[in-house]
Amino acid sequence: MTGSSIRYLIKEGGRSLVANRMMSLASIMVQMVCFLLIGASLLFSANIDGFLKSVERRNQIAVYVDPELDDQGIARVRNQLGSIETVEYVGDYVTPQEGLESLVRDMEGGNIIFTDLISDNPLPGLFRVSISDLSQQKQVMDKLKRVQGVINVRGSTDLADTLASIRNMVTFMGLAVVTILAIVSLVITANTIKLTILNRKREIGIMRLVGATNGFIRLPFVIEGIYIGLIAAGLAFGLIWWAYSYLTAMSAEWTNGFVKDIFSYLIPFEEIGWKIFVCFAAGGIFVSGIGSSFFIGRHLKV
Amino acid sequence: MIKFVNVNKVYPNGTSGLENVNLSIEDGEFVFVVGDSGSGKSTLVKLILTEERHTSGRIYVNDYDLSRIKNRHIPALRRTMGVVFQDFRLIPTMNVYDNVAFALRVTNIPSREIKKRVPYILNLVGLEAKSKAMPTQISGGEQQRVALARALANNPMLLLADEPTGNIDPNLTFEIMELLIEINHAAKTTVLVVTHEQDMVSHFNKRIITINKGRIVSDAPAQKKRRTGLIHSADPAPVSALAEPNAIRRRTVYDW
Ligand SMILES: Nc1ncnc2c1ncn2[C@@H]1O[C@H](COP(=O)(O)OP(=O)(O)O)[C@@H](O)[C@H]1O
Ligand SMILES: [Mg+2]
Repeated sequence: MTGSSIRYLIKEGGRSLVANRMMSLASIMVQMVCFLLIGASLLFSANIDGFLKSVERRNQIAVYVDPELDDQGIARVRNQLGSIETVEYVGDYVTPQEGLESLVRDMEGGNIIFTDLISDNPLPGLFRVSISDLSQQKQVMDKLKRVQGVINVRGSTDLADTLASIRNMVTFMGLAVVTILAIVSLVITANTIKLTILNRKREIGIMRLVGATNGFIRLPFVIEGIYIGLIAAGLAFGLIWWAYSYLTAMSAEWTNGFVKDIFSYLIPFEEIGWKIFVCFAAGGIFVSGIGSSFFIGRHLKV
Repeated sequence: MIKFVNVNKVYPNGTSGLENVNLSIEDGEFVFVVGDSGSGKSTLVKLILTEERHTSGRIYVNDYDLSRIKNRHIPALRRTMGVVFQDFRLIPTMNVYDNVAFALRVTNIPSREIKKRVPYILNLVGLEAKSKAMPTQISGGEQQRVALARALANNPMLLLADEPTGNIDPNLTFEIMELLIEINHAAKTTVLVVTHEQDMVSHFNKRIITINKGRIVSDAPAQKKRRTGLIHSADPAPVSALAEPNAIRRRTVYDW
């Protein structure tokens, strides 16, 4: 391929897009709606997932440390705790004094002065540990217990199991919904492309009769398909960005109490947007480009 | 050069298109093929173009053996000929200029040369003023001239015209025929014109092949006498210019 033929292909794809603007517009709209649905469900499941994760982070395991340990020993224990697999986060060391204060603070009507009265603090120092996979809680607790200098480990395995199974289910359902939507979109988009090409069957036949090779006919269609896919992806991305930002901004202003609590978990678009962008762009290029190439094949027999 | 040896064409539904056809057309000849509607004239053109494939026998066109030609060589075969159809077959979404340029683009000619060649050819058929018009915005006669320009664009060895005057103003019939004859004279292009207007062709002193019910029933060579004064091109000069050395010669085929 020469430079001028590449320039021709790129121009011809665009010309054809404009010349068949009604069909192009229909294709763009159909694909855009598909992208919107997929994008919305991706955002939805990502947020549910994020929400559940943050709930899980609140499920902490208390690791009690031998009160005899010096600072060096405490630092060593902290390191060892952190190096255990699935341990996501190890909090700062909570001294027996701080432990007691927070315990008293948690008791209703508790008074800080009360702690001064207790000369013999019965509480050991502790680390608060959170883990990434709640279904592993039992095993991790066993491992934590085996770290030298640890005297006791406490955590609620029942709660952990429940949270873990909820999250698994939600992840699975999110995946299922996105997959179903992707398949439906693929079928709809494929049919739109098929229709577009059927619409131009005669044109393709004429091209063949004046001596165009299949590649020469096919490539502008593929490029046109890619243009359509990218435009649809771009529009859908812009719309989702706008709607999501609006939702985030609105949630900050208008909500309170429980609702605010939920909305405060909204993942910022900057954090997740690029994933959606990559997903859309790849979808736009592959579905439209390869779809066009595939459906034009059957009209290239004459 | 076109050669048919015992050619039969049976369409998939069982209809017979051509039966035991034998004919030979030399390079540079001008031939009329006449016959009633449904006699098999278009079938003949389609077989030459490999738009339809023959059922049995052998066909040779411009050094290609159509019984053996591979699919990937068909574009190259088609570039050795230009075709004008009764229904024009212009690409509806391309303007006049692009329709003509398309026949050149498929051969991968540099765009520099296309930019010179297309206006030149459009000028020959008298349509340079309409180069930006879409096919739907011009008359049938003009569309047919665009189709002719496209057929001539890469200076083909063979020009096929299937009822080129069937869909245009009858007054223009002689004008178009005259143009085709001039192309044959000037560029030494082999020209095969298919028509059902048997009276019309008798005005020209050309070889006439008559088909009836898929069989060749007569093949009358041109008389040796000069052309009658009946047909007179108003200005044959521009068409003669087709033979000018500048015109793009056939080149090695570039397959993608
Ligand atoms: N695609 C086709 N399928 C079946 N029969 C066809 C097809 N094309 C032409 N025929 C038949 O072949 C015969 C010759 O047709 P055609 O070559 O188009 O005649 P002409 O061009 O002389 O009018 C006719 O009987 C016609 O009905
Ligand atoms: Mg016909």
